[in-house]
Amino acid sequence: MKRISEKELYLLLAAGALVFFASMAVIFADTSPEWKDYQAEFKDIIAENFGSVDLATVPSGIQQIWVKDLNRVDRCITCHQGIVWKGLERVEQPWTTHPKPEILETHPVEKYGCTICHGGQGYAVTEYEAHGFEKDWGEPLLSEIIGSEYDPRNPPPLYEIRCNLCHRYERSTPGADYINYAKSLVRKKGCKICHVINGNGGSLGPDLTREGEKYPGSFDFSNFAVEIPSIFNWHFYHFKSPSSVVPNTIMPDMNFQTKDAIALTMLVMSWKDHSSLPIDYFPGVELKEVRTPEEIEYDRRLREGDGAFFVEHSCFVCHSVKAFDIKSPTDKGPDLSFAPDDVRARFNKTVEEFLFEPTGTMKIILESQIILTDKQKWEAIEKINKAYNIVKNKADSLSTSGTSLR
Amino acid sequence: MVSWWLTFRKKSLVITDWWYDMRSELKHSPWRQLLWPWKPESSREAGSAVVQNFLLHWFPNRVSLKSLSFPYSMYLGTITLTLFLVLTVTGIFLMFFYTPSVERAYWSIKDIEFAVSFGWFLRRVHRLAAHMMVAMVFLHMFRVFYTNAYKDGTTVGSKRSYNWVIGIVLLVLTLLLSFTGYLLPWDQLAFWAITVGTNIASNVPLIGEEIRRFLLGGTIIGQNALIRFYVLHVAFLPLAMFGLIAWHMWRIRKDGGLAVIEQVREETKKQPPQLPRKTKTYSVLGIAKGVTAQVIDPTVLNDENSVPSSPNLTMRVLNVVLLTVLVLTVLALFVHAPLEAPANPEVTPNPAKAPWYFLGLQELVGYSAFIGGVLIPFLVVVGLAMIPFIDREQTHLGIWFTNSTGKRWTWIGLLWGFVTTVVCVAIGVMFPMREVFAGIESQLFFELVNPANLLILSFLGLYYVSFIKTRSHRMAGIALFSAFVISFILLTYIGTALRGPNWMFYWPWETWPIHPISF
Repeated sequence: MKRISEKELYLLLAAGALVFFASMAVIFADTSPEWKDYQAEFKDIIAENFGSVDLATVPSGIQQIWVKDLNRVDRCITCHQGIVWKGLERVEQPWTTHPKPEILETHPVEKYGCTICHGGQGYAVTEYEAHGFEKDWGEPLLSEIIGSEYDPRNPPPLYEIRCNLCHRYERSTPGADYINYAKSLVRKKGCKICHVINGNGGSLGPDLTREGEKYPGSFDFSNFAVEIPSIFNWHFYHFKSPSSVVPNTIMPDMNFQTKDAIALTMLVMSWKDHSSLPIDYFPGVELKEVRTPEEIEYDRRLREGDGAFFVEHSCFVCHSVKAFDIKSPTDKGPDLSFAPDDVRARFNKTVEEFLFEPTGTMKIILESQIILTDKQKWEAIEKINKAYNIVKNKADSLSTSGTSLR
Repeated sequence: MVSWWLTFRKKSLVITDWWYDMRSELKHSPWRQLLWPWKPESSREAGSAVVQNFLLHWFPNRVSLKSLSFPYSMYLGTITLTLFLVLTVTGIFLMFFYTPSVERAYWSIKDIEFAVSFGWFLRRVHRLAAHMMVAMVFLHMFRVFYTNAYKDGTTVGSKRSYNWVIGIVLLVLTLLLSFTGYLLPWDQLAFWAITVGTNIASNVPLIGEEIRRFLLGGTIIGQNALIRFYVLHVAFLPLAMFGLIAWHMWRIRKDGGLAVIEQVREETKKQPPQLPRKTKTYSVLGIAKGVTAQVIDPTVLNDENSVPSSPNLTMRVLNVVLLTVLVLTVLALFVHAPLEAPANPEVTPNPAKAPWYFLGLQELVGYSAFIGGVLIPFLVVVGLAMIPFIDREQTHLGIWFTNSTGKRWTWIGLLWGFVTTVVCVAIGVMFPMREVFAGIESQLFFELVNPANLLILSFLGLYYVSFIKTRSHRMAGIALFSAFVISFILLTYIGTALRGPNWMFYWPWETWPIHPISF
């Protein structure tokens, strides 16, 4: 009988030993996750701070909050165990008490969980993955780490984006300063003249109601140089200078400052599809924007007053018409009340000639954006002349009484 | 150093002796049924080991040294079977945690990844073993082809050609198993790979849409498709696979063993005939212990050219299994199983790619959907299955590349396949047919005039020329098969690594456009 070769036996021993060690490594990797270290440390902290607490009552193992209504499972409290404890304010992360207990009072963790407000990946129990920095996780933790990418000295509170998921219909939300500021800009600059927002507005620009829902791949970064090609940066640079991000855009440059652009970016990114959120998560407002009586009255006058023609045909996006009390939000073009004088001075034409054979910017606008029939053009001329007469008469009457208008 | 080695040798000999002592100790202990007690004193005793043990039943009594040799078979079939068993075991565990519903599938994978004990490990091993199994099935087929092992032997009932066809069916089943498993995580990768894969299937003329509807249980990839793929993946296909594997293994025994045995047979034929002797250690009559029939040895195995399967083959198989498990375990410690964003039918990733083993086809589909998606896969599967029925030259069984002429045609085939594939892809990339013939509307024209057809023609030309030169279907087959192998590898590489967004061609040193992120 031939004996089995020695090599075969050594190979068996070696392979067996290696499989054993590899299995040990797997068992070690599975049974010593990082959260166990954090939980051990938390017990030490409790023992140090609250001598009377029985450590056996401190929960151990993976902890999770399951919010059925929001369809979310948040295991953040596996490491952030101190969030709902009082008296750990001075302890560092991840064991500290929630820094804003007053928010936790109105937003109890059992009903909200963590990630709906903070972002991050609730399912994960390792730091990098749980904070949502994985390539394919679209909702990263909106902490200062990300904020400082955009403004290192004064990182914007990006988490306010997530406040506005539910608070979007509120005029102002306590604590959400950037979002409140952005909302005031939206009202002041008249974004809704061109854009539908929350269900109503003009139609010159795209509907922004679900702008925050758009996928990163649907943004075009090819026309401008940017360090991080992120949705945030796209909106930021687009707000600062629309035409450098989208050439040939008709969106006017609003001269936004850096802070304005950041706040507005946060606001548009918060405009997500909220149809999966239960209705009772929205603060007690009707599902529409609240407007002041003055605003409603001004809006009514715009649409029904003598200058309704200019509002209806979007002329007022760029032109004020002082005679009819129409204030353009952008004031990109001259006041139409003085058009007969203006057109004569700049183009050496009458208003009729200019409207039927326009030149320069107005040629592009009248050919592509605001297309008027001949009948409408005559109506426009008539209205402009009417406005001109009103202003002139007012000026005459003022000058006879000794005051100068201009 | 030398002295250290000598000491080591000496010590290890001591260990071997201890090993044998232990085994003879154990031979008489009650543990002998569980542990490995076997130190057979005779061929008969060794044979009984195989007969009496259920698990060892699929081994022959004796195994030739040539069949046992690693360089001959490289144990690719054993590795494949091991991977299949690993997949079965990990798969059964994963089934306890996975929910095949559109709402829950993705999140149950997240749970397996983060909250289930060893879930991450099970998932990684399952994925790695699946990819490796596809690769190993291909390699196993390459080995059987090149060693001329698909030919019927000289023993009664030897039909290796049948086993080759069973093998091709097993290859297709393996691809289907992998493909159906691809959808289950329900992430973007899964969703769009299946979209691309089923769209390829829909290019079949006339019934393409019906096939797609049959696969998906509807017109979109939704809950119906998910449950269909799930049932196929966890029940139907594995059962079919188990049955066919059993058949495949049984046929190896029926066919007289690995094809290399035919060489042993020829060698013994040359020697003077021997008297009948008591070699068969069991028979129908031998069920009662100790009774043996005296027969003329039907095989050609003797003490010189073979060893008892127990413990030689069993030990070898155990080693192959252990090493396969070792590679999987170590890889699983370092290679993460990806899980992309949840499936979203409204957002198409760019580029959207099929599973890697279909990327060669996807590359060809880029030239012509019908040719790449239907005709070529059909030709490949049918062509492979027909190999043993075209090449009926009953010589040189079990010899790598047959002979020196075979080696030469292997090289010629590899070279020809490489050059023609590169040329075809170059034409496809630099002169897209639809731009060259921009004025032509006819779909039929582009099905006829495209680089994929050029590739088919160049392969047929290779077969024709090599057959004229050698007058041997085996040699022509080797040339064509080698061209197919290199083309498959090359196209798969190009589809995987060199095709970027919009299916544009990118060299390895060129960076793809950076994908935008949310923050």
